[in-house]
Amino acid sequence: MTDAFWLQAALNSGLVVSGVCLLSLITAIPAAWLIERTDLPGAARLRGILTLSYALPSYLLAIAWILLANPSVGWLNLLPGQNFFNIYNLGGVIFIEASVLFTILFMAFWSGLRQMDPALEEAALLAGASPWRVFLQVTAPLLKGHIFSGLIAVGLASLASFGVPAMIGTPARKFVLTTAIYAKIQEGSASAFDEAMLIALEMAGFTLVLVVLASFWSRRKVSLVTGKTSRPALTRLGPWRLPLALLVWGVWSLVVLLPLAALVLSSFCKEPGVLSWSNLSLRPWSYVLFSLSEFRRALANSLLSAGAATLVVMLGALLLALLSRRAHEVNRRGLNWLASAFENTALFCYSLPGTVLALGLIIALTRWQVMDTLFILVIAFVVKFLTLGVQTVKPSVFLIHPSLLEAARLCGAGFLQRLTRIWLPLLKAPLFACALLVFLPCFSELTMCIMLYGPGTENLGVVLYNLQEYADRSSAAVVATLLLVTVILFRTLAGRFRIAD
Amino acid sequence: MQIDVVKCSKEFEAGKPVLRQLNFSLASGAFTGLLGPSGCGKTTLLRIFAGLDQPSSGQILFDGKPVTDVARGLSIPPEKRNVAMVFQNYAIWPHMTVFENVAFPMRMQKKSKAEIAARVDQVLSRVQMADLAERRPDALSGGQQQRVALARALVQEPGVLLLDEPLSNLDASLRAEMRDLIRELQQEQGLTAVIVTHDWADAKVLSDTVVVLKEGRIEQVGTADDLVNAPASDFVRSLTGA
Repeated sequence: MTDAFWLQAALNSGLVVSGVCLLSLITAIPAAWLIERTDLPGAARLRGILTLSYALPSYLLAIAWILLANPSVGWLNLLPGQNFFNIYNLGGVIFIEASVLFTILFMAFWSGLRQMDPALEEAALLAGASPWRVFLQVTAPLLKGHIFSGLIAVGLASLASFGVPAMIGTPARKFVLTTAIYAKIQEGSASAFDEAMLIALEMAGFTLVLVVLASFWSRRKVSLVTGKTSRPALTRLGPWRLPLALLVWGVWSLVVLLPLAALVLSSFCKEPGVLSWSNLSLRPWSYVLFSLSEFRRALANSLLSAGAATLVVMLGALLLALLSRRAHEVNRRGLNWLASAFENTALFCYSLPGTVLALGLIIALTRWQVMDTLFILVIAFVVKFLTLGVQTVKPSVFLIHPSLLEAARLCGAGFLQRLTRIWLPLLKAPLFACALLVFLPCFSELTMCIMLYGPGTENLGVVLYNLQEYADRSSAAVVATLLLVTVILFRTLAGRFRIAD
Repeated sequence: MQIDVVKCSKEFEAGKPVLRQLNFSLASGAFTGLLGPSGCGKTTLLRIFAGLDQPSSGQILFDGKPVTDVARGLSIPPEKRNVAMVFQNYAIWPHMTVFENVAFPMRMQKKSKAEIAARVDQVLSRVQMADLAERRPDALSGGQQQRVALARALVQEPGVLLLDEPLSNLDASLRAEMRDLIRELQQEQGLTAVIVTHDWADAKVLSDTVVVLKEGRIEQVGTADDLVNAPASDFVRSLTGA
């Protein structure tokens, strides 16, 4: 019986992963091309908006779509009648996941387009190829590496996702691997735990294979940057300009704007699912902010654990980057090996589904007195997100000219003095970027926290999940809106400081 | 093919014109050099010929027919102009072999396989690259990539051949050799050609007519001898090194 259960879960995961990859492929590639290579109206703004939804926790959209399309009181069912729209199925999971995760592929392909020497495409145009053939025969083959590594990242993220399948799939008894592991752990029996362990190990192995594949593909990226950069000639869409703009903006409004608007609106509704003026009220907000003690505790927990994790990641990333630079300079084999071992482990931990990573931490840390404390959340965040820090800090560490440090050394500065007087001030900007990049996902983390929290250590993600489970939809909408505002605020801040993704 | 430039202006940013009301003609079958320091607008003008950039106002005529006319909102897209260009960085597609690179324009013209094979082989031999037809571009030197770029442009039998600083990335001896090859090929095929350069030696050897540009305006038009013997200004004199 349990074999059938796991088989079904694996099958569902497979369906979700392939569905999300396929949807991402057919939306992200055309969107990136239209935005970067054509005279589509509002292209720059659209890109900004899409990169913003990159940082959106996907479970926020799940909550929003439950408000819109649950079969009994969903707003979309107000007109056609109950059960017309029903989000609770695997299709719903795929749709919601794709609406957020496609941005990963979008960013990967877009950055490829950005780096590529425009002359490569212009030469094909002048040789008589139509824009469509230029895309098929020059752009797409040249950016194969970007497409494949982006697709693998999308696949890994959809395999790892927990919030959306837990909120959308589980109510319909559709389990994927992550939610199946969670359900087994909830059962509490030793045999169920062992089964979950085994599946988690298999998922880890599968992830390892994909990560190796992805790194293989990114190494196969051909060198596209050559000589001078010119302004690429934008393809003129001509009569297609307006219809295409309407299509792109329309799809985005339907898939992202509509549910988020519904989320915000319902945070002001006394009764969820009722659309009327008299139903509007500030009561859900005052209840959450002033009466719901879990919320205040969770806010403090989230701020504390995410803040601490961010500081540790910044320090860890800086030290790792310095180690890797040192290894590069002295070119000693052992040191090089050590640095790349650290980096690859960090990358692997990031790619690992949060559910699996959390399970591993539970097993590794049971003897230490950290279970049910905020420490274990901080540890989990650091292990998971260290690689984001390394990726932001390392390039800048390698850019700093050795003479700046040699000069300090000749002035008598030791390692600590060089670190505080030279490295830190010079690396202010990338460290700040690293902080913004790491804090946000920690602040709203759900997947690992739901496995690791104890009494009193719930963070915002867990409280939101529980509110949703107890069907307190108004309060859930309030917390979700707060998270949404935080994400938008942080991304705007990051944009203000021109921090690249 | 004759090219007429009519009242052509270009601004990338308002108030900072790159080209100012240019009016001139390039004779059919002639080699024209656009000479000037960097930032004088010569590459922009070349890209406007190709249809890769649009002027802010004015017209471009090919054999008397407008291909770009800002007032009427007309711009023939680059792929329909039958213009070939040798880019400064060559723009050889790294995912295709030398043969595939050169064959590309003919494939777009839907020529038969046999015809493509014969013609590509002929052109590659002409630029002394026939032995390397199956090589990948990353295994080529700069000079060899330059020859591939030239072959790819010639195989198209373009109405006009545009060359954007094609010699600037080559060392001195190779540079002279390529200069001669380009001139020979242009004369063999009777091509209309335009080269953008900031180097007087290139302009002098290659061009029938030299157009000197300064800050988006024409400073002087004439043969190389005219520019040396009767420079219109100190600026032209400084360019020719006289």
